Amino acid sequence: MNSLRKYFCLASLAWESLFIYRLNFFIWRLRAVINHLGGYFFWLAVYRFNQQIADYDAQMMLTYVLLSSFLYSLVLISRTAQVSGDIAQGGLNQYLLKPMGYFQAVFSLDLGDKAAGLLFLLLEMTVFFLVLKPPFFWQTNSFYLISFLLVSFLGMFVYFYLSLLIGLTAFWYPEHGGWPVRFLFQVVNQFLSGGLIPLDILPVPVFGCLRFLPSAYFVFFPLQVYLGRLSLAEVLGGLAVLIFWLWFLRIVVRLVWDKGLKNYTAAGR
Amino acid sequence: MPAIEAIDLKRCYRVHKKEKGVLGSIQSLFQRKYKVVKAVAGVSFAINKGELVGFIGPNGAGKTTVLKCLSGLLCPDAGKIEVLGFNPWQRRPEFLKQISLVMGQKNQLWWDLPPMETFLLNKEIYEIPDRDFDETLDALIELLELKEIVDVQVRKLSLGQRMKCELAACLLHSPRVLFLDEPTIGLDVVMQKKIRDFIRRYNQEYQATILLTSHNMSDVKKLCQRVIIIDKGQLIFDGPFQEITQRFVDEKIIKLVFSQKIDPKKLHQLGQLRKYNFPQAILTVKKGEVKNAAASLLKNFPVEDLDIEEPPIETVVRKIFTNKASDE
Repeated sequence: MNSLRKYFCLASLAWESLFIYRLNFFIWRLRAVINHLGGYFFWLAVYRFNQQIADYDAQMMLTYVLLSSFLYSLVLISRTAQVSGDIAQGGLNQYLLKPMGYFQAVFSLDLGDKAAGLLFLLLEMTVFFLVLKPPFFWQTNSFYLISFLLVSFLGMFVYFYLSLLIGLTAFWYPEHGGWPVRFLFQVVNQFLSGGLIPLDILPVPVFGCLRFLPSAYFVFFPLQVYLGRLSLAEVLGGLAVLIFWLWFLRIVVRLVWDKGLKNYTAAGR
Repeated sequence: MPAIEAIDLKRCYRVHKKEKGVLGSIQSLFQRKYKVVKAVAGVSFAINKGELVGFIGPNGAGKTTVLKCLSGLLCPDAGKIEVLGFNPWQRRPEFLKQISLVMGQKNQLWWDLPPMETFLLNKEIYEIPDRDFDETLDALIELLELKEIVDVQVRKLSLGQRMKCELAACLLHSPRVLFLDEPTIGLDVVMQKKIRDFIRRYNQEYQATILLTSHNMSDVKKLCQRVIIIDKGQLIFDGPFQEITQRFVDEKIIKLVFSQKIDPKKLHQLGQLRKYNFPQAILTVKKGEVKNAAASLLKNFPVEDLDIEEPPIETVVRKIFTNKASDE
């Protein structure tokens, strides 16, 4: 119990530090709001001329867009982007010197950020719903709702390990604090996660491949579950793929970490 | 059993060698050349519990690499290290709870928050009981005069204030082994003295084992009875501070005050004339010839005052380093 308190303390420090710089905070939220509104109004305009795109009607597509903001805050907000900087600039030293796990520390920081992100998303969405009254699809089937939450949380862990793994490449490619690799990852991941468009409106063979990649489980798959577009077998199949990735990435991250630490020069600060 | 022991410690770095110029940079995109730098090439020493040892050497000698190996940050390529009976590289929590590495250029304090937040975080990380924490923190706040600054955002503190808070953050768990890397870097003389006094007190009160690197020779001179000198990754001296001069210096300095002007050329016969500015002169003389030179000076010159001194330790160390550097 005692050992959990350190991680709780870290999470609350992460939370605290978000509110220190007002400008930074407002820009962060402004960016989030523009993102929600941008996607929403884009699809609203598209559906003015079409009844249906692929097999999404307007309500489904708009629900997809709005809920993807929730998944963004839950799954994709993460401090793992700083891991490569920690490695390249030696900030990692401070964690290694202390009786605490580095992964657990980063995850605790993540939780602080995610909690703040979700709280403000909730406030913004409340205003948004009151003002614009969007045609939102409320799922009432408890199987889909529970499965949605379950796969979202699993997706959060899978993203954590995948993004961590990308960060760990800085042990070998420390240039620019790991940003070249990170940037490529983020661009690719944003598309592959279904954050831009639902993946199943892509050509069938492309979608057939993408659905097995971990990225598809960050936004696309949980939303398919929420929207009730999957059969029981499909939900369980997806769950199996998720669990496989979680297991696989955990092992790879461990191996890469052990190997990387031997290569680590604790340079810089 | 010694608190710290290193046997034949070795550690290399692989460094990317970039070719010069534009073409070279394109070439290095496809084909890289690496150079292996031996940062530490077989160093052995043992330090007993409660010792305060100075660890010196020129830039790039391998001091920080040794400290990083001892504190578990770096994996040694070869050799054996034991700190408090642990292999540092395994980074066991019981080990980490008993050591601290303070690096003068690096900050563990949360930049945007007051130092107190970092202290409280460390309390949780090291699982320090409330009572111990309050006692140690009070003692540290008083000793390091932190009362006014613990609640000020770190980014608004001066370098010296940050260094003091950094030290406090590293000592909250009362480590039994302390590695200090340049603890007085960038500080003014008053602050340097305060930090030094503090280190001495910590060493005595807690019977802590301390290994200290510094480019500031007065840190080492005032704090450490024993000194380890390394250069190019190799140990070149390990012993009492005073012995450095005996071991590496074969001359003494004679300071003279004359009552009348003399012909400085005549002094050359006795030794090397460093400075002549009537009425003062400074002469360096080989150790074995000091007696004769002094006698001859008193006999043949209008000497009013004569003083025989060891060369200052800063000069000695600089000489050791430059000689070693020019050996290559």
